[in-house]
Amino acid sequence: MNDWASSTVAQAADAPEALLGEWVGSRVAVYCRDQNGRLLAANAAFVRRFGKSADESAGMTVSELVHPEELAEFNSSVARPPSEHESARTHRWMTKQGWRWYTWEETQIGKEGGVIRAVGRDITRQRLAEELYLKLSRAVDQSPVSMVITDADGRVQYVNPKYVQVSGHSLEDILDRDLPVLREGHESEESYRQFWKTVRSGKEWRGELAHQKPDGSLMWESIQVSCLRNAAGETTNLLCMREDITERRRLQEELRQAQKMESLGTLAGGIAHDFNNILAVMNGYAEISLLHTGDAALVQKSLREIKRAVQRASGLVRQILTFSRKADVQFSALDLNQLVRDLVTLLAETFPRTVNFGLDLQEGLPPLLADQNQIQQIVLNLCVNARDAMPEGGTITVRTSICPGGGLPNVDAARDRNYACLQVTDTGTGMTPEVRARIFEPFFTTKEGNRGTGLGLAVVYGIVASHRGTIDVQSAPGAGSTFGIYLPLAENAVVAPVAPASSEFLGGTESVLIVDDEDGLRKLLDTAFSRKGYRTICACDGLEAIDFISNPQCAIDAVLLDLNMPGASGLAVMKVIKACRPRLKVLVLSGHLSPEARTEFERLGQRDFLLKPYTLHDLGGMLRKVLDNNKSN
Amino acid sequence: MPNSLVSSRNASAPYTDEQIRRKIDACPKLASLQSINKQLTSLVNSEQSLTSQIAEIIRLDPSLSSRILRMVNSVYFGLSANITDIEEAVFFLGLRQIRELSRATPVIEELTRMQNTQFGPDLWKCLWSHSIGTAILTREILSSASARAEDETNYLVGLLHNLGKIIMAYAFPDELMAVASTPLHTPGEVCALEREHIGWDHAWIGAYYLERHHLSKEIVCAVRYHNEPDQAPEYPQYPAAVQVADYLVRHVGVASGFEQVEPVADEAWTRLPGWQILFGANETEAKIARASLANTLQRLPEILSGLI
Repeated sequence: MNDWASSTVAQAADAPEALLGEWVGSRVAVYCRDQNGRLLAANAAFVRRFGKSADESAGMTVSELVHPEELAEFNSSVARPPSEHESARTHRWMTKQGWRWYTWEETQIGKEGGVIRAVGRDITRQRLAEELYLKLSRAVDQSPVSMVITDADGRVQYVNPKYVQVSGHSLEDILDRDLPVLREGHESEESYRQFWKTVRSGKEWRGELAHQKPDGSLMWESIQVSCLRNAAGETTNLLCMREDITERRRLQEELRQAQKMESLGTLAGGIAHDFNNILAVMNGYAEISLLHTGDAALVQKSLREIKRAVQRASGLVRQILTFSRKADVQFSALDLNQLVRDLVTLLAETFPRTVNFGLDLQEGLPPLLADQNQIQQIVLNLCVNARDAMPEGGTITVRTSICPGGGLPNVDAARDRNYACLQVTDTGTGMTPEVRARIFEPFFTTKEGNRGTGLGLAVVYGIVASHRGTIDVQSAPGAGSTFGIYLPLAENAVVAPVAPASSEFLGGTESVLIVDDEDGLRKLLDTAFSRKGYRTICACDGLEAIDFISNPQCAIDAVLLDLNMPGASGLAVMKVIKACRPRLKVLVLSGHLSPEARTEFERLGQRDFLLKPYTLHDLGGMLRKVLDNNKSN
Repeated sequence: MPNSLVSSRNASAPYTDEQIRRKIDACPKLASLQSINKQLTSLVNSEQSLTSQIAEIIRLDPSLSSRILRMVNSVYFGLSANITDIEEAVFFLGLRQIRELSRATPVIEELTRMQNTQFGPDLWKCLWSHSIGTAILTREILSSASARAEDETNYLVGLLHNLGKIIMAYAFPDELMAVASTPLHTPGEVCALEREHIGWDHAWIGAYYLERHHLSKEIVCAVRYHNEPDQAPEYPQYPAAVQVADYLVRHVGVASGFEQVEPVADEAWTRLPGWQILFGANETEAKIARASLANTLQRLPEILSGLI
C-alpha cells in the first residue's frame, strides 16, 4: 500500500463516519472502501440491509457480500472508480432477505483518492421485470403464429418474425408505407367496420379471411383480435394473432369429399334395393306385354308402367351422381319435405328391420335456399348416427317445422327471419355431457373399430354454418338424442317446377348419324327418329362412325354422339368431325361428363350436350334445336 | 408539415409544395455506408453484443439514426415523450428489429455500382464525415454553452442536419447534381440555389421528412433552421450550435458532400448569428468556448478518419 492511500485509510480509521459525508443518515445504502476492497465505513441503511454493523464489518472485504458469479468482475474493478463513460456497476449482493440486485454509483473521495464511496440502490424488481420482458419477447419472437400488436387505433407497434416471414413486411415497411395490417383480408368495408365495432365494444373478434400472399397465391388465415387493457381497464393495445390455415382448409375439403363417399356407401345398399324393385316392375310389365300382344289396352298400360319405372330409376341415378360429384355448391330453392321423404324411403330399405322411421313433416313448408346435395348429406349423416345409437333397434323420427328466428335457442340467428327446423330424434343410448361437448370435433367418434371416420357431425356442422344456420343437440344418457338443424327459409324463392312431360316432339327430314355402342339404345333411337321422318345411319362404335364421317359420299346433317365407346372414343370421333366436316352439327350424349372432358369438347367448339338419362322428348327437342341453329347460322 | 417550416418560398420554383412533399414521401429506405453496415451486421448477428455497442455504430450514420428513431417514435407514438436516445431506441425495439433494419439497409456502394448514378461513394463518405464531425462539435458547443442536462439531442441535431441531402439524392437527383457542380461562397448560397432549382432547400426537406416521422420538435427545428438560427421560433440554441459546428468542421477541411463551397476562414464562426445566440451575451463563456473548441478541432480530423 502506498503512502497516500495508507494516510487516507488512517484518517478513516479515526473517523470512518466522516467518509460518508452527507450520506450518513440517508435512507439509501452507502459504504466506503479502500483500494483493496476493505470496508471502511457504512451508513445505517447499509447495515440494515446487509446486516453488518460497524463492529462486525471492521476489516471485512466488501466482496464477501457479492454473488460468486459476479465476483471476478467485481474484484477486477474494485481498485478504481467507474470511468466517465461507464454506467453504474450492477451485481447481486447478499442481503438479509437473500440475493438482491444492487446498482452502485461509485465516486472517489479524498484529495488523493484511494477511498471509494459507493451509493447503492436495490433494482431487483426492475431487473427481474427486464429479464421477464426479454424472456417473453423471445417466446413471442419464436411463436409459429403470426402476431401483431397495435395501439388502440390499429397503428402497428410490433410484429413477430413469423408475421414478417408470412407477409413479407417488416415493421419498418409497415410504418414506411402505412400498411393497413388489420384491414388485410376483409373483403368489404362493411366487414371491416363490423370488425371495429366488435373490437371497440371490448369483445374479441375471430374470423377466417383470405388474402393474397406476396407470391400471388391465396392464403387463408384464422384471425383473432383481442384487446389488451391497462390497470384502469382501458384498451391500450390490440393483439392480433393469425394462423395460416390454408392447408387445413384444403384437407377439410378433401375430408368432406371422403366423408361424402362414406355416406354414399350407405346409400348404395338402398339404391341397389330400389333398382331391383324397379327392374322387377319393368320385367313384369314387359312379360305381360309379350304374353298379351293382342290386348292393345293392356300393352299400353304396361308400357306406361315401364316408363314410370324408368323415370324413377333415372331419378335415382341422377341423385347418386349429384351426390358423389365434387360439385360446386349451388344454392337453389329446395323442398325440404320432399327431400326428407325421398331419403327416408331409401334409408328405410337399407337400415336394419329393427329400426323404424317416423315422419312428422309440417305441410306447406316454404322452400329453403340451400344446396340440395349438402342438405341430403345432413339428413343422411344424422340418420346414420341415429341408427348407430340404437344397436338394439328403435325409432328414428324426422320432423320439419317453421321456427321464427327470435325463438331459436342459444343462437345468434336473424330475429326477423323464419327458419326451417329439421329434427332427427332417436330412441337410442343418448350422450353424456362430455361426449356432447365434443361431437362436432373432426375425428371425434364413439363408434368402435373403423365403423366411423368421426367426420359425420363435423361435416354437418360445416354445412349448417355455410348455410348461415344453427344447430342444437338435446341428449341425456339413456334418453336418446335430438339434433335440431335450423336453416333460414328463402324469402322469395320458388321451387323450380317439374317440366310437364309430353311424349311428342318435332320431327325432321335430315340425315342423322347415331353413334352408340349400346345395342338397345341405338335401336331405340333409330326407331324413334326414323318414325319422325329423319333418315338415320347407325354406327355401333367410334371407328365405324369415323368411316361414315370420312366418306364424302355419305350425307350427314347431324351426329348424336355417345362418349364412352370401345375403339375410338367420342372425343376421337369429335376430332375427326372437326377435321373432315367442321360445319357438321353434333349433339353429345353422356352419362357422366367430367369437367375436364367438357373443357376438351368446348375447346373443339362443341356447345351442345345432353346428360343421360334423358327422355326421347328432350332428345328430340334438342336435336331440332341443333339442326335449326345450323340453318340460321 | 406546418407552413411555418416552409417560409419565403421561391414563387417561380419548378415544383409545387404538394409535388415536393409527394416526392419526399415516395423516398425509399435511406441508404447507409458499407463499412458501417458491415459493422452493424456483425454486431447484431452476435448474441453477445451490448446495446451500447450497437448504438455506438448507429450513431455514426444519419440514415440509420433517422430510421431507427422514426421507428421507435412511431411505435411509441403518443404514449410517452419522444425518444431521442439511440441506445434507448435499440433497447425498446429489441435486437431482432435492429437485425431486420440492418438486413433491409440499402448500401450506398452497391447502389452506386449497380445504378451507375452520378453520385460516387466519395461524395457520400464526405457527407458522412461532415455529419459526424458536426454532431461531435455540436455536442461540444452545447455542453459548454449551457447548463442543460446531457441529452443525445445535442449530438443528433448535428448528425441529422444534412439529412435533406440524402433525401434529395433520391427525390431530386438532377437538381442536387446541378447544385453540387456550382462553385459557391457560403452555405447560405447553397440553400438559395437549392430553392431556385426545387422550391425547398435541403434544410426544409430534411425537417419535413423528420417531422413526418415523429422525431422530436427540437430535432426538426434544428434541422430546419441550421442555416438561419436567428429565424428559429423555438429552441434557437440547437440550430445555433449546428451552424457554428458546421463552420468549424468546414474549417478543418471536412466539407459537406454534394456542394462546392469555399473553405471557412479562421474565426469566421464568431461572426455567425449562431455564435451570437450562444455566446453573444457573455464574454467569459465565449472565451472558454473558444479554448475548448480549439482543443477538439485539433483532434477532429483524426477522430473522423478512424470512424469511416
